[in-house]
Amino acid sequence: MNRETQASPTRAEMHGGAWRPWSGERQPARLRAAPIIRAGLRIALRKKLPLVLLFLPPVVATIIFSFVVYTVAALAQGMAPAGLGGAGGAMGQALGGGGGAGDFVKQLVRVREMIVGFHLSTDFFSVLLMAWFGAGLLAEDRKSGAHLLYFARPLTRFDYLLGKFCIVAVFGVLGSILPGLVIISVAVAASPDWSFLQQEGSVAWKTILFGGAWTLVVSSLVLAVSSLSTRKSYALAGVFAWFMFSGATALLLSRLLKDRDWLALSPVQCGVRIAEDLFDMRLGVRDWNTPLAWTAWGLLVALSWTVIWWRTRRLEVV
Amino acid sequence: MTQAESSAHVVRAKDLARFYGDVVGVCDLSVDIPRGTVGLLGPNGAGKSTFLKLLAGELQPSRGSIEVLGAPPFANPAVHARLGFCPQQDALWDDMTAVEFVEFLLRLSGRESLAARSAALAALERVQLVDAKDRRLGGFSKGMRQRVRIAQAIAHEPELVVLDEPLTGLDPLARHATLELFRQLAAEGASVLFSTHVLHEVEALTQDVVLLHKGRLLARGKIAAIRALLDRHPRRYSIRARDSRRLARELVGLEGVESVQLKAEGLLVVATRRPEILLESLPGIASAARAGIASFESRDEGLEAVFDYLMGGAP
Amino acid sequence: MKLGLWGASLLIASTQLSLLARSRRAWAATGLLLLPALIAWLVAAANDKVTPSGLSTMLGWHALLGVSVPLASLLLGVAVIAEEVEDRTITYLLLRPVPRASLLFGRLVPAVLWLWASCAAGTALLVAAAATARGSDAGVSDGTRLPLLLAACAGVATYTALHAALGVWVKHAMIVGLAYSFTIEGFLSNLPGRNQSLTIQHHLRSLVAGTGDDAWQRIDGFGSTEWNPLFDAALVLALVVLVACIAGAWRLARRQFELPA
Repeated sequence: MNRETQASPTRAEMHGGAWRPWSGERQPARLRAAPIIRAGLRIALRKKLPLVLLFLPPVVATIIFSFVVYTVAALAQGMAPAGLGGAGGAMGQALGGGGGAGDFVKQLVRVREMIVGFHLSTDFFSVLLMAWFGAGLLAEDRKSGAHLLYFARPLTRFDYLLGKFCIVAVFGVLGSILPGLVIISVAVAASPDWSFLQQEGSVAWKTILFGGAWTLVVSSLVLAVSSLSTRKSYALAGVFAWFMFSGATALLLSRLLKDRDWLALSPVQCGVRIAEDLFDMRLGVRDWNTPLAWTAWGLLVALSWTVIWWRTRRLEVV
Repeated sequence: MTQAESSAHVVRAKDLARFYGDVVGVCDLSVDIPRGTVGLLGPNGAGKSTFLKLLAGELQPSRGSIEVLGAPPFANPAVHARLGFCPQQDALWDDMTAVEFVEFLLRLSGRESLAARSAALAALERVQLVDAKDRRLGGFSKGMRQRVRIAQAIAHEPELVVLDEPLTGLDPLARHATLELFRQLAAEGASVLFSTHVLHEVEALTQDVVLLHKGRLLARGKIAAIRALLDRHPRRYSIRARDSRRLARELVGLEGVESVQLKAEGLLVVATRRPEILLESLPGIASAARAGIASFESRDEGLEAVFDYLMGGAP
Repeated sequence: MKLGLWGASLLIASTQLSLLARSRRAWAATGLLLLPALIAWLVAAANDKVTPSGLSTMLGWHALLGVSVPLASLLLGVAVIAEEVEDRTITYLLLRPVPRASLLFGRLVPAVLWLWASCAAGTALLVAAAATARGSDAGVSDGTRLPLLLAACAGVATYTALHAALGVWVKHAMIVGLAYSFTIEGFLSNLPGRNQSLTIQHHLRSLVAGTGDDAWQRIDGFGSTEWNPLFDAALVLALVVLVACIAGAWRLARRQFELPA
């Protein structure tokens, strides 16, 4: 309340602007974005068909990989599920089973490689999930004017964006981190005396780190494109156009200019490089530097948030 | 049905039904709508918009049939040439100017370029938008956008103008002007069918209404005639008199009077099932009782009361 | 005066063409088609080893034909009918006394014309940018630039017609179109074997292979792929356009659109 009003409460006031930011005392120590997150997730989970279609591939992949990991871990102990014809059976041999105890460590390494391979192969599905559920978050608010309702509440732009980000991130976590952790749990449970946990335990936190970083990158990109669009379908097209163009351009330039650093233009290629480095693996693309890949991801996130911040700076104006 | 009967009605629906999955839009709707100005009324979700979309040929019936100007309207250019439709949705080509929008639709209705231009300007003038004719529709206010939609519906001088909630978003002045426009259209010989929630404004425009509720036809006809059919509700009259107690005493014994309530400041509310007896006897009774009647008015003969009764409430 | 199919189509097309010029979507599609030229220019400026013909064939093949053409066509093709439905403005068109098919043709033709103009500009600029490359070779020949232009123009016409028809048939045309572009055109067309002949991309590349010169041989797998004969590829693409137009017009004549208020 301003001083004039305090001095004479009946006196009228005029305000030059049609809109004023909310001012007052907000409740401290409370996640004000929580209602946005809850509402966003509730809306996202309401339509069952997209949920089934989009979650089906990661779920199927998780089941298959879990089975394979379980089998490899079992073979490492010299056992094999009966369905595979035992360790010496054709399937057992194909999975590298039937070796002596000296192969045990190798098998655990194979499990790790499988987990990384799984991450990279399910990245596509996590992009689909995040794009589908995130593309409309800012675009449709803007189109329908729903942001006016948000900003009529004691919410800051940070709360609003945090809420929106968390909605996308939940799907990123469900699509990239959770399946990895499920497979790791299977590997841990299937390995004798928790040996996978003891010898390859770092895979778990690396999975969380890699999945988290991937989620941050894709969520930020999706929200940035959403903030630039007026409808969900355009935002979806924009996200896919980004991935297609950056992928094609990165490959072309690296080939034309015979310099693999150009692969850093593609977030997917950066992911491959970072995964290789993080999990200490060789996927055949070793001659471009990892810090560049991290930098490229970081720049993409920074660029995305700059765009989001810029595009939402006047959301309160119709 | 004779030719004369057919031409007396602009819309004929028989057992009309339209479903959206499990949701009923309209159901078993049989109604003939005469030429002239007709108001389509009903609460939210009554099926008004669905009925108008079926009527305009935007949707096809799930069951039953509908004829507009003597032919089924769905994908029928012959009907569309004679029909003007103002949809409820606030959707326009925002990159176009007002005059471009109306002119383009007129050209699609078969007008030559010059004729379309002048007809577009005339239509915009009728909705008082001629000053904004060269502005982009994207920059228009809600009321202006509504008026552009009305303009495109009337520009080609259709025989039947169908308007879905045409008064929504209009300020009182524009509302008044729009109702006046409907009156003019009717005077020019066009039939006007419009849906709205603003009951008193319907009443000012037409006595002919169609009432829908939960997708079904609740009533159709003149408001007074519908009220007359509502015989389970007694007619209620307000009488203000100098000596209202004495008048109340006299009225209690009158044939058909069900109740007499004495309200504050000498106001009497009389409920009767025989209004003709009350109207006939009241001057004599008042004079004999020296009650000094200051005002007399019906409380429930208006559209609003009829609407409330039909919806199951009380006015 | 009642308008027939072609009269109404012409009228809608002329209006639509002027609207396209004001539409951000149309300019975004143009931008997509110009992007390979921008990349070519940046590469040519940054590197002195890359050659003009190498740059134009690689970017023309992978970026222009492989990415820009399908995406730009998707953007404008879907807008032909599906966007009108999404914007709920289709009511005004459906309730006019014109054949419904004229709405499809009248809005499809301007979209294709716009994309053709953009393709011509994109190809010309790509070739011009590639020509500034400092690596030594014979330069960009007619056997490089004309097949590229031909395939790009054929590509936008085919994809746009396909997406326009898709917009009449399905509710979420943009999403279905994206899935199609990503999985069928982006993925299947790059798999080895005969399966790729199921994609439009394969037939566009066959046009290049049928009319192009030796410069295209530098594309990976170009020499080892079994391309369709030129006439067959052109025929398949023309058939796709024809079927898309007929299927779209047929459906549009019967379809009712449930538009929310």
